[in-house]
Amino acid sequence: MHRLVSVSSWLILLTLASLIWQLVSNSLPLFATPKVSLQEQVLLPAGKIMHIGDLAQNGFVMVQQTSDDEKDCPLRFLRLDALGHLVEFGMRANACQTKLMVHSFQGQTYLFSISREGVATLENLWVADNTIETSQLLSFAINKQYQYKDIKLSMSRDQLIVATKGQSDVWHSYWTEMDGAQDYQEHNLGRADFVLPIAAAGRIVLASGNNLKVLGKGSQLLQDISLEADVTQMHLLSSKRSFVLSFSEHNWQQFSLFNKGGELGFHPTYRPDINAATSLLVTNQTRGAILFADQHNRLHFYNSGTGEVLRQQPLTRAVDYVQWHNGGLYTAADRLVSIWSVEGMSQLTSLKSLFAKNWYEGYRAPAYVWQSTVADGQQPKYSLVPLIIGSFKAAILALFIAIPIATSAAIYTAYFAHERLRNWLKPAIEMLEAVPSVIIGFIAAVWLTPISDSFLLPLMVFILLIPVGFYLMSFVQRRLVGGLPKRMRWHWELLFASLALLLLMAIVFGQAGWLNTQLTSWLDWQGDKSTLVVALALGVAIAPTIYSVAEDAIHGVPQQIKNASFALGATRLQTLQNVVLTVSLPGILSGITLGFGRAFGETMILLMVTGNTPIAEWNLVSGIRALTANLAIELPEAQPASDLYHVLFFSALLLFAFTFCINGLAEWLRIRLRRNYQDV
Amino acid sequence: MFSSVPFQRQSFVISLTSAMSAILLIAMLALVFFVLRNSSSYFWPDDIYLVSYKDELVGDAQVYARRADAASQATWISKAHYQRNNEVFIYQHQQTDIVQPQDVAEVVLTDGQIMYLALYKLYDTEGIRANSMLLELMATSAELQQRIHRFRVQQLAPLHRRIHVLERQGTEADGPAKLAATAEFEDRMAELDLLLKQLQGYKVEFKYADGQLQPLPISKIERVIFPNQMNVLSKSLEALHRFWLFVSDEPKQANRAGGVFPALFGTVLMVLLMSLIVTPLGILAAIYLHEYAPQNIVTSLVRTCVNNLAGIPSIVFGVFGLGFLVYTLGGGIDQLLFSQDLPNPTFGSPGLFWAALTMALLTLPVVIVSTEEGLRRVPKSLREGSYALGATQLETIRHTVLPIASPGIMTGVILAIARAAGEVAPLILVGAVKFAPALPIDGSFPYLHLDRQFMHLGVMIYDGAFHGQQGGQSSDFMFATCFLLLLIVFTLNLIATFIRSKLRRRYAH
Repeated sequence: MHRLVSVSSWLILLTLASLIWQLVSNSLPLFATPKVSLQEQVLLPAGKIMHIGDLAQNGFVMVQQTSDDEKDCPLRFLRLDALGHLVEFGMRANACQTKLMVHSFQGQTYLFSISREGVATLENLWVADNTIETSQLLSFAINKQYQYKDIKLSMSRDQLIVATKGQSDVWHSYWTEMDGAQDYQEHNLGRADFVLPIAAAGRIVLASGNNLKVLGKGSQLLQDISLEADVTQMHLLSSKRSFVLSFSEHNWQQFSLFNKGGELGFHPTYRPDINAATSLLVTNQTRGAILFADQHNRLHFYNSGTGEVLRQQPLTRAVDYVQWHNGGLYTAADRLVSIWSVEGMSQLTSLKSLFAKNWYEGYRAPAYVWQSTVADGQQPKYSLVPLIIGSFKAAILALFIAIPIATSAAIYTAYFAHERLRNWLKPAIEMLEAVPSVIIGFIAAVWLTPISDSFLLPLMVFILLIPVGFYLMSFVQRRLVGGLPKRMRWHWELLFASLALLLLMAIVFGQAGWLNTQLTSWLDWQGDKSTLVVALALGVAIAPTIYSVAEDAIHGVPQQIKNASFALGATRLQTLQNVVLTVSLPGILSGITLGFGRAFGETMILLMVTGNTPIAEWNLVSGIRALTANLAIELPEAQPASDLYHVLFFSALLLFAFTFCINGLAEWLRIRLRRNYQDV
Repeated sequence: MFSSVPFQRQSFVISLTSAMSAILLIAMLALVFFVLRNSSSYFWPDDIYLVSYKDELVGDAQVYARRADAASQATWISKAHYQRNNEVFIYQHQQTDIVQPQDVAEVVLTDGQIMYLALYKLYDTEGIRANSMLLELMATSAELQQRIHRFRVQQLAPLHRRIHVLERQGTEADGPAKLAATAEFEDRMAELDLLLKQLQGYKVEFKYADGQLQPLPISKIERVIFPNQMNVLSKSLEALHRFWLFVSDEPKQANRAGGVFPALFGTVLMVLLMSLIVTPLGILAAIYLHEYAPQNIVTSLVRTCVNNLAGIPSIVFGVFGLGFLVYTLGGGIDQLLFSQDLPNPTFGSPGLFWAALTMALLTLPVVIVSTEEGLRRVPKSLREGSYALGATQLETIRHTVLPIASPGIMTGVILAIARAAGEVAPLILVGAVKFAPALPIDGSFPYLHLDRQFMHLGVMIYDGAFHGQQGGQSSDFMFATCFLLLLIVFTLNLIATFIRSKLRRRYAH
């Protein structure tokens, strides 16, 4: 028996331990630093690497063979076979003088070529039945006088921008619609060190020296920015709405497209503090991650939202080609292709990305944003700040209502009320605690919220009128009470107070319509009135908790010290103020702390009554989404072991830790209270 | 402001604090009455009025309507037209005239739809019948339906099976056995057709308030009542009857009508399972803490644990239940025992058992604290008496302490059940759904399906808050669900309070 009994208590310890372990172990992956590890290496045939697809997911490699006579430079297509060997499965004849460029867009591979005769062709490439298939999408003749030194290409769903660099280093741009319905437009861009066409944004970015120009479709100058240093590299990020500049001073700057002062343009965002010249750069924008290699062959993991470099990892050798697919990171040096797996990506979420303002792409300024479901290709935003603020706001709102009501009620029940009254009043009020919060939430959501517009202001008037009304009444009370039958003069306050309250309520809410129109025009109230419903519903839910603890504390004050106070000639009120409340203060505070904890952890009322909009403002009348409600909304949909899953577990851990501290505080206050009782 | 004489100050404080107590009391009562008032229109057969009003589109219109509830801003609510799922809300300013006709009926269809109609004409197979024969005809029609059902099961189904077997054996289409079977099948079908035609002969023509006719086969009608002809007694009986239907019937019309049986069943079953888990564990832990525990670090650790478990937000238990119980433990069980079904999870997805276990953890502190209180109230003299008679500690606990502490234990278990019945947040994560296709108990092995998802009253209310229209049928239904949940929780709490106060009185000295 003894053993069985002690096993049960070990079981409880085990439960709490596994609860904490579960929360912690599911949050830890967030704080692991990402790293790449080499999976395998394969050797390519000699030639120029044109494209490395996602080999793990049936992608292919494209190599352009070079020849000495500069006549025939065929394209060779290779894939991994079942054994992991790279085998050639297709070949395509190609003249050396045809300029080629491979472009990936929305998971498809496109081949763009300009022949010696000046015919530009855009083809779609795919693999079917172990052969390479192509289909021509666009073909148009461009000026063949230019001997192309370089081609830049960018496509979006509906347009294609090509930029070519001719013999005399002059760039030309060609804009064409993807449906081929209209002729292309050609513009002379002049000389530039770097050109970056961005079709998705409908812009071309030119950099020469320390000058940056952004051109629109008609080649009109949209932005002219002078930089602090000369540009040495320019990279487009995979989202196609941001690019990164490297400067000669070995640092770099991120630019994003967003609306500033009514004008959509590229504006500088983060300027990370890295003393390195970037050479190669790949991005995975759905994770907000950028990987780049510097001149010292180090790989940097960079979070584009927070501007932090999370990890530097040395690579064994220089890299001259890099691709990042879902299946892994592919780097190539000479003919050796290395396939790396990227681990711990679910955290690029650093503490900074959870708790600091992040400058997300397309945002005017750094902001706290919680947005777990986003459009394709965008980065989910996991800032916990709006949720924490939401929880605090809701709890504070509830305390506004609950503290005055619950503590006053506790004082009355424990100190003024007759013992017989207390015996039924206390259980009756505590019954409120038993009401399932889902019912309070339901009534608030279905009934109060729709009418909150019309009752909010009258309610405020009512709340203000209560103290004023009872104060005025205290002047006439003596005369009123004097008129009552003798046995009703004592201990009937509750009944009369209820009646007075109902009367006041009837007067105020009877005139609610009139009051509302008067006050609305007078106060010019703006804001979300449903926050008051939150305060009311949550306040009613936590008031019994505060009441119960505070009442016990006040009632527990030893009778002899009250008697001592009365014996010294103190009135009931003076005794209350100077003796009872002083002694029981820690207990009342403990009740308030517990009530705060309960409001912070309450789920259903917040879920049903608030609009669940995560807004990081302390303004009490703006939207609220609490940590708890967020868990109830997001966790059923979260894929186990996904980023969101870990972030949610971390938020649950925060909730746990916070309520743990709150309960500890309440416990400590209770110990103080007990000491107070003993001292006197 | 408080510079008045002490007497006034004191009476001000007393009346203000008593007013605050009154606010809490009024809030509690108002909440209960509000739920009661709004759910009553789901049970209580309201009088039906003929309301004339001005419609924005149609102009002058007339409908049969009942008074709207407090939760609605409208004055009148008219039930749906047949096969049109809308309700008409009439506001005070639209209304022009009301009368209370005697013959208007509340018609409940088999699919849960409710309509207010006047009885116009009644038909059976022979022709028009007197309107007073409605109940008789409904009984006859029901009998006929029974007959058709029996006919289908007893006659047609075996024939169907026979033909199927013949076909599987590859019998030729013109083989004698097949021919005989087909001929018999056709005969029986003709008989069935006859019966069906007969059934269709039983029909009612109803009339909407605007005079439009609505023919309905009697077989589609579940109940017809005439609330305006009923007195208070028969209305009360009807309300009781409806309450019974509410707790015993399936939800219909997408949780707008019918009953909540699956949700009630799910709630009760989950709570029972939970109390099976939490009771022994909680009692043993309390006995350890109170009777055995040495004053050491483990004991104080256990006490801290229990205190903290009580303060953890319920949703965190849900998170734990999902992450640890469902994905880790459940996933492990699937790997071990149900690997043939993978990747389809058996226990690796939210279900009844995990919900019960999560709730057991949530309510564990309630049971422990209450049991300990029960143990504390056992007078020392009784223990000493037991020891004096030579009983060991174990015998003392079993035969003396536990029986006396049993009301305290019971209080704890009841409070735990009440808490579990009303708690919704963790259940959203670990297995309660707004609609479960099957009950967790049925006739197929192993009868009790611990891995199934289940319906829960609280989850139903939560879901209803997002879909319920203000006032009207669906909010009535949701309020009725609230009422049921409140009834369960309050009853359990009152029982617990009663037992506890009895216990306190018995061992007060």
